[in-house]
Parts: sequence; C-alpha cells; structure tokens
Amino acid sequence: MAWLIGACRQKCPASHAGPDGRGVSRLLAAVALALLAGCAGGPGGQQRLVWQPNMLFADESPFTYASRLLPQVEPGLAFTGGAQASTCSACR
Amino acid sequence: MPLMSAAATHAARWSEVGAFPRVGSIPRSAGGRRLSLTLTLLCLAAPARAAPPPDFALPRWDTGATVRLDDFAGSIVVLDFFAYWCAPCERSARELETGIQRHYAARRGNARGRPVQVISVNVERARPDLTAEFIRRTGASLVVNDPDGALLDRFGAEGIPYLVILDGSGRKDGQGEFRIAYQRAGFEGVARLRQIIDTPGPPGTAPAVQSAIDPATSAAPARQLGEADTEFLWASDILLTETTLHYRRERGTTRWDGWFAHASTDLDYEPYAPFDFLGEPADVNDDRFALRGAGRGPLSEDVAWLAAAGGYDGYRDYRSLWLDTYYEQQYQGVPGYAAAEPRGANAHVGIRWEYLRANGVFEARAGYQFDQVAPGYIVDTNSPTLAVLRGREFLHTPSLSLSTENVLGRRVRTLQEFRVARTSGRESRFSGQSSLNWAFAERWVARLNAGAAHEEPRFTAWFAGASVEWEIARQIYVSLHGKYYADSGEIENSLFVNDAAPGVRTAHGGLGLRVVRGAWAFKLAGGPFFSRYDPIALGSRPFTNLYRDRNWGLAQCALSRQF
Repeated sequence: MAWLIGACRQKCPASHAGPDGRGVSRLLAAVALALLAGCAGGPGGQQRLVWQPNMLFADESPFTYASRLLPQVEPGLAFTGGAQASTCSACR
Repeated sequence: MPLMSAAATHAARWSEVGAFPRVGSIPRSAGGRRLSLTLTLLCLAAPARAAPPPDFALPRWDTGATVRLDDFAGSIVVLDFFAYWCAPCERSARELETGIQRHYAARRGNARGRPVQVISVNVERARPDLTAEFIRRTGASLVVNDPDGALLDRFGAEGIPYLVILDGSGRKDGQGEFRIAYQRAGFEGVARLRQIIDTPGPPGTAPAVQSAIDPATSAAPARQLGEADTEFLWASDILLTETTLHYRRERGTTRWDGWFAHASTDLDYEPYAPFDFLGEPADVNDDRFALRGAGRGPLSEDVAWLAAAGGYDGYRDYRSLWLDTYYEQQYQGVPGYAAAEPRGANAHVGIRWEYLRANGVFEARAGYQFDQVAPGYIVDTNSPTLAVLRGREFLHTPSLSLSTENVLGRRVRTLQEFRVARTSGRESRFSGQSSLNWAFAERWVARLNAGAAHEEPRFTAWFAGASVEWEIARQIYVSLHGKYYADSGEIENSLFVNDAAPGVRTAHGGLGLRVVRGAWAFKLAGGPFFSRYDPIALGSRPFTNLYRDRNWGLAQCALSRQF
C-alpha cells in the first residue's frame, strides 16, 4: 500500500495540465488510482477550500441534501431492506 | 473592539514578523519517488523525531507582540496549527485549552514539574473575522499567526489540525535545545498527548513519575451535537413525513450517536375498479418508529472500530402499506390470511482506516438486516376450499460495504461507495456510488454524484445528480440541485397477478438555503419531484393506482447545535 500512496503523492492527476503523450490509458489509470487511493491535498495550511463545511461528506442534517423519503419511490437507492423488504408476492 | 476592525489590525500584522528555518526543517518541494515515499513514511509514523525543530518568532494574534520558541526554554510546548475553516481543528483547540493548558496550569506542570504551554498557531491569512470567532468559541488563550503556514510547512504537515509537542526540558538549567517529542496530523485526544507530555526523554522512555491524573477532573471536554430534522414528501393522494432527532457525543477519538425517528404515511387508498371488484376507497395511516445507536473508537493510531445497531416498528414505505391494504380487502377472513406486523432490526460492525492523515479514509462494514414484512398473497389453486398462500414474511439481508474518501488537490474531495447485499430468496445486489465535491471558485461549490445498482437476473437502476452552492453572504449559502433516476422495474416471477413495481423514472429539482451562525446551523430545502412508471402489464392492473405517475413536492428542514 505504501508504494501506492507514495506514487499518488508525487502529484495529483488533477493538477496535471493534460495527457503527456504516453497515452490516455495511463491518464485514466492515474485518475482511477487517485480516486481509489487518494493523494495528498497540498500543504496543510492551503486546504481551506476542501475543508469548507459544504465540501465535506458530512452526515449532519444541515449539511446534506440527501432525502430519506425518496428511496420509497426509487427502489434502486434503498440500501437496507428497501424494495427487498416491501410487500411483494410475485417479485423476487 | 468590533470584530472587523480587530481583524483588519491582525491582517496588517501578518507581515511584521515571520518564521525562519533552522536545521532539521523538512523540505517540501517534490523531489522524486524517494522523497515522496520518505514523506509518506514520515507522515504515517506518528511520534517523535530526533531532529531539532525549526525555531520560530511569530506575532501574537491579539497584541502583535513577538512570541519566540526560546521564550519557553525549559518547558513543554504544544503547537496546535489551526485555521477557522478546519472543522476538526475546533475540537482539538477546545480540548487542548481545557485538557492540556488549564489541566497542567492547575498542576503547575507535568509529572516532572515542567511547565506546559499550548500555542495555537493560525495558518490562515484570509477572513480574520472568522478566525476571531473561532478563537472566541474555542477559548484558545495564546494564539500566534503563521503567515501562509510557513512554519507548518517546515514541519512537513500534510493537513490540519497538526499537533507538535516540543520538549525543552532536556537540560537541568532549562536552556537546552528543543526536541520534537511528537508531531502528527489529526487529533488523537488529550489522553494521548498527556502520555507524551508526562514522558520526558527519548521516545519510549518510561516516565519517572506517573502523572497524577484525577479522572474526575482531568477528562477532556466532550463535544456534543444535537440535531432535529424533518422531511415531507407529498402528492395528491399520499403524504409522507419523517422526523429525526439525533444526539452525538465525542470525546477524543471516541464517538457515540443516537437517533430516534418517527415516520408517518397517509394514503387515500383508491382501488382500480375495473380489476378490483372487492376493493373500497379508504383513508389509510401508519406510524413507524425507529431507534438507532452507533459508536466509533480507536483500535490503533490510524484505525478505529465502528459499530451500530437499530430497529424499527411499522411499514417501511407507502407501497407496502398500499399493497397490504389491497390484500386485506381481498382476503381478510379467508383461510391463510393473517394481519401483518412489519418490523425489523439491523446491526453492523466495521473498521475505519485513516491511511492518509486528514486526506484519505477507508471504511469497511459488515452488516445484517432482519425484516418482518407485510407479505403478499396468492390464491392456493390446489386447495379444495378457498384459501390463500402467504408469501415470504421474514427476510434476512447480510451485506458488505466499502468506501473511501479522499482529498484530491486543493479543491476536490471525493467519496466512493460500494455495497453488496443478499436478501432471502434473491440474488446478490451490487450497488455503487461516486461523489465529487469541487470548490471551483472562492465561494462556489459543485457537488456531483452518480450511482448504479444491479441484481440478477435483470434489475438495474442508475442515477445522477448535481448541485451548485453559493456562499451569498458570510456563512449563508443558497443552492440549486437536481437528480435523475431510472430503473428497470422489480424482478417478477409470476405468470399472472404480480405486484412487482414496473420500471420507474424520476426527476427532482430544488433550491436550498443554509445558514450557519456560531454553533447553530439551519437548512431549508425543497422542490418538485416527478415519478413516471413504465406501462403496467396485464397481471399488474389491480395495482394501477399504486403505480401511476405522480407529481410530488419535497421539503426538508433541519436545525443543529454544537455544545
């Protein structure tokens, strides 16, 4: 895992200007790697924007717009029970 | 002095006195893979280094007077790097002031009698008015400015809060060099810091005198959060509400949560007469109550355990209530029919690994859900008398969830979630969601997310959503959001009558307002929501009024307070 983190810390793919000629696949692989493994966000004192309250994936109600009621209409969003727990005599 | 004028004064002081490097400072420029790996290992290894720390001379926040490291020769110095926008910094600053500064001041030093001084180091030049509010809320007593985080960078910090303990008690005359006893991004709680402070000498040395900690008076203060939120979703014949109360208590790295929820369902039940000769219109209501508790605590420096459990009593959704009303009107009194008692319980355990401090978190959870549902019915054609067969009543759903949250650069934060669950009598359902928050301008944030779910043999669902939020005034935010969802319809295995939902497409758009004032936060959001079903098969015609297109309204309101 350390090599993965270290490789990612070289530079965030988002900060590259664009493909460097070694192929789009390498860029896509780097983006995928960054999304999965993360990379350093720059010097600690310069992360103001990513630590704004509305940038966090918070579970506190005033800071999320996710709905608890919409999964009743959208069964693909129901993570616990959901469509599986509905009355259904003929659906699997 | 008004906050703004004080802030302007402080801003002018930023350039008066700066930090300066010294032997032992850590280079920050990128220099190849070896350096990167070195940084990684340095960051992942928590405590002490042998190198002397960078010296500093920084201006005080309140008076502008210069504060030098040498002023504290012979003492233990705790540096707490913070910024007003850093949410975790507020907890660390508050706990350090009460659990370290006041704690050791009351005891006249650490276990060896050495003075202990907490210095809060502000690394943010912008918005000094918000910094002043932060200092007032946390009660930090000695605050200095570190212009643009220059000193922070020399410690090699990758994130804040960043805590450094400098031991200046090495020589008996109190004039010795300082030694870095601890440095770490993220706050481990005052108990861990006290362990370091009361353990002088090289790392691993046992303390000569055990710290005389009185558990009754020395415990770190707990951060508490109280929330109430309510949500409404309504159409011409359906009204759904859900109200939740949430309490959170955090002390150090341990956190406890409790939720109580009440949901109500009101239906104007209308049978589809051409295919339902026995049904009657009815007003149907149900209340669902739910309780849930969750905890999180440290297993090691970067790993925490997660656990949660909960239960509910009532119909999970309006569709279950509608269908149960249908079966009750059709088969009540018929052999084989029994009144439904829907309820359920769930639990999960997991781990949380902060693999890049302040920048990367991985979570894994294993869960189990039990549902006692309102079952469906079919006529038993093999029965000599009129009887019905009751469908599956008990569902068991084990699940595994993985997620990773990362900071990418200075403007992007991402969250990836993946889940697989298998419910009794069904195939495994795989679902994933990807979210990205992007601060594309100083006061603008875009939030994008998309996800999909699949279950064999042929259920597929996907959605995509986006929102844009603008800080229109100080900590007042307005947002515009939208989402589209589509699925292929529930999986049917019946040749005739079946109540499985056909495919549905939904669209939602709305506006939101959020106001943050000190420890209070308030949200109001809402907008239209549309659901459109695919054509209903012949065998599903009795459920035409359940699966008809609807135009909905959605409204959300939430209030929270930290204390």
